[in-house]
This record gives sequence, C-alpha cells and structure tokens, in this order.
Amino acid sequence: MTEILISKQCLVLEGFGHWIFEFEFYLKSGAWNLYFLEQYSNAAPTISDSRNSGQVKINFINPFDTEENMDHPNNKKKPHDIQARFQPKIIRILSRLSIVILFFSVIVLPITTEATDHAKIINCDVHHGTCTQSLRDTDVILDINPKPVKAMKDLNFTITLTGKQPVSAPYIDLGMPGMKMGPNRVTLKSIGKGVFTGSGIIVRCPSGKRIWEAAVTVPDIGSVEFIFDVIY
Amino acid sequence: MSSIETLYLAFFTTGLFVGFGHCIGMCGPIVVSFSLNLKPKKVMASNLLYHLGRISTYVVLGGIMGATGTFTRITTGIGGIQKGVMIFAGLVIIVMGLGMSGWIPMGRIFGDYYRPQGIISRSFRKLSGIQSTAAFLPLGLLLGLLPCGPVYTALISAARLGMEIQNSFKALLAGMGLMAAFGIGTVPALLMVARLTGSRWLKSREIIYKIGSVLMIFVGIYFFIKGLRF
Repeated sequence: MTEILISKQCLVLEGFGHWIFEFEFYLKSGAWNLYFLEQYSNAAPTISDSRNSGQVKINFINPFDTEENMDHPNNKKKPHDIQARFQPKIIRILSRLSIVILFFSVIVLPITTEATDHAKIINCDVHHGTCTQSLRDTDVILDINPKPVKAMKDLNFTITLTGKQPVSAPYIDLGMPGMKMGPNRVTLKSIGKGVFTGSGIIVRCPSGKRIWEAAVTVPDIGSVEFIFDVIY
Repeated sequence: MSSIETLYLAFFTTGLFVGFGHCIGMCGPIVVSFSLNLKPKKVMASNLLYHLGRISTYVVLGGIMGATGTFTRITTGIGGIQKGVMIFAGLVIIVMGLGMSGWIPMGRIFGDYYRPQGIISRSFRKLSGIQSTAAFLPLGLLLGLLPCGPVYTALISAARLGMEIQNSFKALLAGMGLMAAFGIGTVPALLMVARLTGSRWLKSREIIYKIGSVLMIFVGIYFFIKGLRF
C-alpha cells in the first residue's frame, strides 16, 4: 500500500513527477475520478481531502511497485502514455474513427444536405413578390411584407383568394419543414372581397436553417403550402 | 376548462412533442455533456435543478412578453445576451469534453502547469468539473436564455395572449403560466436523455465515454460557431 500526499501548491512528487497536475485535475474535477488508480490497482484507493490543510491524501496500491515495473522506464511516463499502453488497440482505432465520423455527421453533412434541400423544396420567392397556388377552383395568393422577409420581425401576411370564397377567414400556420417548432398561427381578417390580412412573426432557428413553410388553410376548401427561405 | 387552461394544456403537449423531437436534437447535447460528467447518483437531481432554472427563465420571459404584449422588441433587446450565452454554452461543452477525454493536458496548454492556482487553470478546472448539484440551478437559469425556435414560438403565443388580456397583471400571469406549461412539457424527453447518459452501464464502457467526449467537443464547436453567427 502506498500513501501519497498531494499538496495543492507543490506539484512535484517523487514517482509521479510531471503529471501530477493532471492527476490532481482529474481528482478535483471528478471527471475521471481516480481512473488510473481504479484501472491499474487491484484495490480501490481511499481518498481524504483536507481542504483546510490544502492537501489531498491518497492510499492505494501502486501499480508500478511490481518487480516488472520498478525499473521500467514507463514508470516515469505521462498518464496518457500509460493509459495508451494499457488500452486495447481496437479502442484506439475506434476512437479515432469516431472522430472522423462525428466530424462529418455534425459539421459537414448538415451543411451539404441543407444546401441540397434548399433547391429541392422552395416553391415561393417571397422576397420579390407574391406567390400563387391553386386549391381546387380557388387561387391562393400569398404576400408577406415588408420585403425582404426577415425572421424575428413583425410581418404582415396577406392572402388573396380568387374564385370560390370560403365560409370563414383562412389562417396561416408557420413552421419549418421537418422540424416541429410548436404552433405559430397567423389569424387573418377580411379587409375586402377575397382579401385577408394578419400579422405574424417567423422565428429564427439557431441551427441556421432558413427554410420555412406557410400552410394556408381555407375553411371548407383545403390547404396549400408555400415554402420559402427567410433572411436571418 | 377555460380558454387559458386549454392553451396551457396545448403548450404542455407542444412541449412534450417538441421535447422528444426538437429538444433532444438541439438541447440534448448540453444535457449529455453535463450528465456524462456527473456521478450516476447525482444525475437526476442535477438535471432537475438545471430544468428548474431553465423553466424559471422561460417563466420570467413569458411574464415580460405577456405583460408587454410585445415579442420582437424584447427579443431584439436580449439578442446580444443570447448570442453570448450560446457562445458560453459552446465553450463550456468544449471544455467539459476536453477535460473528460483526458487527451489534452490542459494544464500545459493553458500555460499554468506550474501555477495550478492561476485564474485560467482554476476556471477551466471548475468548468470541466461542474459536479456540485446546486451549480446546475444557476446554469439552467443562464442557459434558459439560449436562442431556441420552439421557445420563441411559445413566447410569441405569450405575447399574443398578453395583447388579448387587457389587465396587465393577468396578462403577466398568463404569459408565465403558458411558458411554465411549455417548459415542463419539455422536461421528460431531456430527463430521459440524462438518465440514459448517466447510467452506470454506459459510463463503464470506455469507448462510449470516449465517443461521448468527442461528440461533446464537436457539439461545443457547433454551438460556438452558431453563437458567433447568431
């Protein structure tokens, strides 16, 4: 059984030397929580942290106190080197592979797929005029002002219906394709024959995705979707 | 059931659905980061405190939106703070990931290997080793300000509700209630993520632990970059 006394001020400790800082770091953070000692000792270490004295006392079986290791140069190696020596090769390979996969899945793929999706699904250019879609015998015309259409701004939505008129005012549900953002409904009021208006806000998604959809529901007739991009 | 109570129920349900969809993807990494760093027995209590803090912030924002009946003016006002919070969250996750992986000797990188009580060293040790359960309440209060699409949407409803209610005090309460209902709805999904992440079985798998720390670093970078661009 070995007993070490780590001073929080003095980092030099015979046998552990230059890596004691990290050791203390792990110890204090609890992130690794005496990983090394648990990993390479046969018995769990006991720890007593005396905050007043500014010292941490640890009793443990030193894994390097074996005949094999006493004169071994690795005895003075950094903890990461020691860890690496004991770590199975497959874990190291998988760890590195995971870095590459995660990099592509988190950083690269979203950027490329988003660029592709943009071109595929946008069916309305709200920044430069109105958009029209047919719904049975009725044409639904959407206009959003002010232009260009920006997120987190008060916007005025106007729906003009030509042809068959609804029994009550239409309404617009704002959302993002493929991402549930919660209910964001723009209620419209009639300001003339077949013309309805209301105010609403398109929120900003921190993911950076800018494609939004306005699902216009015309009671008793049906609904159409306008998909457009907004400016953040 | 009154129309306001129906609205609360609707937003609680929205929170539930959004929680299992949007929140797991967007806020899940934060919960994972915290939970991986915690001892299993502390995971639930810490996460509950984190969510309490987060919901408290939502409630305060909901109250302001309800009382004033405005959304855009207030969100414009707090935009800078939200940007800062997002950058901060990114940095916290990166540091936690680095500390947890053990691959990078931070003491040497930050130049105070010989000064363990230096301010940089102490700060990074604190950040990478948030272990105190109580610390998760202020963390939740702060990260409740993170910009989030569904939260914005709920806040718009709180503002609209405020516009409909003439009495300012009632409007304030209605806004607070709506955001509380929404926030509580998001908790089960994130608690589930925390429970899974904090399980002993998972933590005993070194490879998963390592992948988790790498994921944290990337997610932290993602948050940091998004924060800079916000």
